[in-house]
Amino acid sequence: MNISPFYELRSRLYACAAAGCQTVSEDFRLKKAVDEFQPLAELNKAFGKLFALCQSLFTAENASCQLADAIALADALAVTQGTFADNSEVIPTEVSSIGGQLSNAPYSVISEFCEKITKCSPNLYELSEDETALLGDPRVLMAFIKACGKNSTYLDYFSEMMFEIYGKKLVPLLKNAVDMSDPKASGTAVQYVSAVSGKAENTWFLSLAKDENAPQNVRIAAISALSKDSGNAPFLLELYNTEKGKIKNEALDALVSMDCPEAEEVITKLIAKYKPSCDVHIAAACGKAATDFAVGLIKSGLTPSGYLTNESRRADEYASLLANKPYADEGFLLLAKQQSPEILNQFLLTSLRKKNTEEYRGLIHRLYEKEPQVFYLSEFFVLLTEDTENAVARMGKYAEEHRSELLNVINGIYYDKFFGKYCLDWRGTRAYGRYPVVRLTDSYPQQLIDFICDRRCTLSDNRLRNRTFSSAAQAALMLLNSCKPEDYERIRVPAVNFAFFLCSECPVSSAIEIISQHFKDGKASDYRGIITKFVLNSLKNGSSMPVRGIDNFPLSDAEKVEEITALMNKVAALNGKIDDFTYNYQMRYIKDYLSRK
Amino acid sequence: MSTVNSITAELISSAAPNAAAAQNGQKISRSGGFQSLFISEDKTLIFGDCKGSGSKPYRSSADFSGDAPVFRCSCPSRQFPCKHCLGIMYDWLAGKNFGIAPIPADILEKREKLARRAEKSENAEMAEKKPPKQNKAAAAKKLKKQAEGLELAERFVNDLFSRGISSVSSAAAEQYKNLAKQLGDYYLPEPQAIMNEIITAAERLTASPDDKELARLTGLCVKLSSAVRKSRAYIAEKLESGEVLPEDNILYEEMGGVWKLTQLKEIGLFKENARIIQLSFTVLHDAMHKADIDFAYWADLDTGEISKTENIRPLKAAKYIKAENSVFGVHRIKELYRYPGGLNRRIRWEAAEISEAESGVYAELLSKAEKSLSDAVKKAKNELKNTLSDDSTALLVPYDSIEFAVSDGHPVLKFGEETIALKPNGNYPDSCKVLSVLDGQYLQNGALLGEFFYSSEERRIFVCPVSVVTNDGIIRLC
Repeated sequence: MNISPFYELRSRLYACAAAGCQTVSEDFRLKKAVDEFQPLAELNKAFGKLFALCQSLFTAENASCQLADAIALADALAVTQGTFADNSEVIPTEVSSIGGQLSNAPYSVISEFCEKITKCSPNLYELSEDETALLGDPRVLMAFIKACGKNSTYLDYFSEMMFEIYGKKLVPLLKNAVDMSDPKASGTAVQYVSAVSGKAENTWFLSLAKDENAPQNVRIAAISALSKDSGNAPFLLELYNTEKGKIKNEALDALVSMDCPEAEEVITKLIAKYKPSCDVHIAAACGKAATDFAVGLIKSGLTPSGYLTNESRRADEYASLLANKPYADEGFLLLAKQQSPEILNQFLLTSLRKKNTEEYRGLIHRLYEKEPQVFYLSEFFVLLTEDTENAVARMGKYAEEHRSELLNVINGIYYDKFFGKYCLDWRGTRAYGRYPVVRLTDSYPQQLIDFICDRRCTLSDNRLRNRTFSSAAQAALMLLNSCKPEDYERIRVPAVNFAFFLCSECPVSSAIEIISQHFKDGKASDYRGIITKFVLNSLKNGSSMPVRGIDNFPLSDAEKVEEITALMNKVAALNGKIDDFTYNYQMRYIKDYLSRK
Repeated sequence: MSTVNSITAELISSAAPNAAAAQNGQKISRSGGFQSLFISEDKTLIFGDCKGSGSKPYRSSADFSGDAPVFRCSCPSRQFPCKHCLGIMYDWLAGKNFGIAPIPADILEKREKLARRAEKSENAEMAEKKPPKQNKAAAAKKLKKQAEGLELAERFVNDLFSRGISSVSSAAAEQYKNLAKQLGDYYLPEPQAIMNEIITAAERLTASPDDKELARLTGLCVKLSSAVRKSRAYIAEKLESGEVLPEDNILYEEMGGVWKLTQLKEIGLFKENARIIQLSFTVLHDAMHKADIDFAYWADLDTGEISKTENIRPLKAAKYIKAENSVFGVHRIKELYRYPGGLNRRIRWEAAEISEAESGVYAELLSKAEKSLSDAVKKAKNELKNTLSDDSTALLVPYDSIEFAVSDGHPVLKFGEETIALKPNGNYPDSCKVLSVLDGQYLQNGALLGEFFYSSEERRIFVCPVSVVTNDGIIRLC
């Protein structure tokens, strides 16, 4: 039965309500709809009732009540006529192994966590154990998808966890998350689609890049994603030639970041008409033309003896031009004399973070081979990612010489409960962060434990020696507090021994903390005398140490007072033998402690 | 008398005044805040000393000797129970070592006091066993007043239909607002709220016309008109028959009446020894009433009936009303009160015994799902066609699989030879997306709690997914 006259009548009734029923008797469209509905009314009792109601509309003095009734009845009839079968062609569902979806987490907990995600809280870097357990809950994923509308670096690390759980299932959701109607929409979702699927979504990126009505940030992110496929070079060149402003610049950067003839041609033209404003594009480029130009520029700024002239630019400005260029060996070596190693390594690692390719790691290895004293930090970082177990051994004598600096890189190793691996953060780069996550090993390498707890130190300078041991103790303490539970004992034993050694040889506060927090199996007598030894040694080295570490020792208050009183007497005996300032400070620490007890 | 063995995570979170208090309690437990932990020999009491910001540690206890647990703490917190009492229960759950100790004298004294008070009130209750006398004259007077108010409301709707919904002038809007204000004097808060909603929406619509909004507004006007007419007939009938007290009819609430549990019991709207489990929980915002609603669907494990609970928290008083939270255990309820209504009746109870849901419970729940899609749709249609009912109605429907359309990725539920499209609605806008990322194992041979609704644009019935029930548990999609 064709019931379209019924739907036509219903929509005419709604139109009548919108316009007002004062003039209903003149509403010829409604009249026509009622007439056409009559055959249906004769076939069905309920339709007949509606027909009668509609007819009374034309004669009633006040049709309002009848109109409301007619609409109510029409609505009820529409519901009963509603179909439900859906014969769409479907894709069968796949069984995968996404854990944690049956989380049974209370609404309050989920909504609080989701709020943290949608607000892109900085705490997303440090999820609690409870929060990590919720990551598989699909409601958390939806909060992440919503957050993709924002532009926040705090979301990057979180996004990797979502990629790990859902993989390519995320792509359609991320694509839907792009709000094309909002001119201020961010391109974060596009960026993540690119990270998950690489060039597989090239057609989508192309469609966004071509869409002139797309929000600018979305378009920019899509253009940037096009750089993953060299087949896009002609299109990017066309965009560069036809567009203006940010789109033009992004198209240029995307194009020159690919090693292809179109990029070389453009960059050569750009160099021919060089202006300082071109620097940003030269920095983005990876090809030979840009590399040669950057190296030439550095050379022109150097004196014959290899130092920067007074008129030349700052060394870090030159270094920034060398970014993204895997064959810029000459440029970096020229700058090795000019710039502090930290800054050069920072540039190298920042580029590596953006494009962690074998080619770029090769550059770092070559630079280290030629100037190990300058490039040891980048080399160690790369070795940790390539051969974590043997990274220290492969650094050879430089591991000993630069132990303190290498320990700082080692401090960047953290155990990520979610990934179940030790990972390395990007602390050597210009912006601290964990994205993209660099996964190292399942268990903490023994060689690194040995390196941290190594009692040998060949450095003759006392200050450097102290600094090295202080870094080592700090590294050991951080590791003990954040390692994988299975590794704890393996780390604890050498770390505690090392801490005892430091109390006697080179007192640093982290050593006391290691003993007080991690020397679990000791008897009370083992703790007697540690503080005294520690403080007296520190005085020998010219520093005063607070005595508060003793509070965590398993000694009674009376024993602690006894210990500190004995220490006070020993320090008093040093009066006049050490400088007054250090002496007075130490006595103040001791007296403060005793007065509190 | 129960023992401390009845402590579950669920009991703690339901006892906590808010989620933050429960979290703080957990923090105390994790950080080892309690310096000493004790349990009485009869296992009815746990107590301990917790380090706090005060000079002396706080003495906290959880006492299970009565019908309901009693929490005591010497801290100055106004929250009840405080984080320390919650903390000691978390310590018990964590399996920490509790030393056996005699019940402290002060607690024994307090227990005695409590028992005396309970005895006294029981005696008083026995003495006043006679049912409270209902004031029929007052009820009749109120009904007459309401009938007068309904006339005003009818005048408003008629005028709106007469002038045209899409062309409300600012002068007319002012008149209507005054009319709506007057309705407050006639004990008709619900029609008044609908009127205010209509006026605001009509003003908005006049400023910027929108077809969808116009259809929604027309629907509201029709609903009000229907409610007014039915309510007038209901009042007239009551006044004529002289039976002026509330009965099993949704119009009582529709006119702004508030049910007392005793009234529900009197007219037989209660069930004894019910076993229910929560299927979903969310917080909805009700702009019309300026309130947040803690909204949950529940399934009766014996009958399969889907009911709902609504904890309405007006925004003005939000901080004084305890927010509810999702719960996962089976609730055994001595007296479950059911409000008048259709398919998804509102339910309430005063006390429940909560036990962990074992895996057999979910199989039992699955067996209570509808027998076929066409049956479910028929039930839903019967509910939805009533002008006064909600725009959607929830049912538990079984499925062989939920698959996704090649064309636009929308989910399709399949059961036997029948299929139905799933589509989000205003209450659960993301639930279909959530469904699309569920592991395939959950999308086969389960049951879906869904809200059936009618889409006038597509002239079809759709289901908005709310929760997925499997043999292993319930996945809440929102």
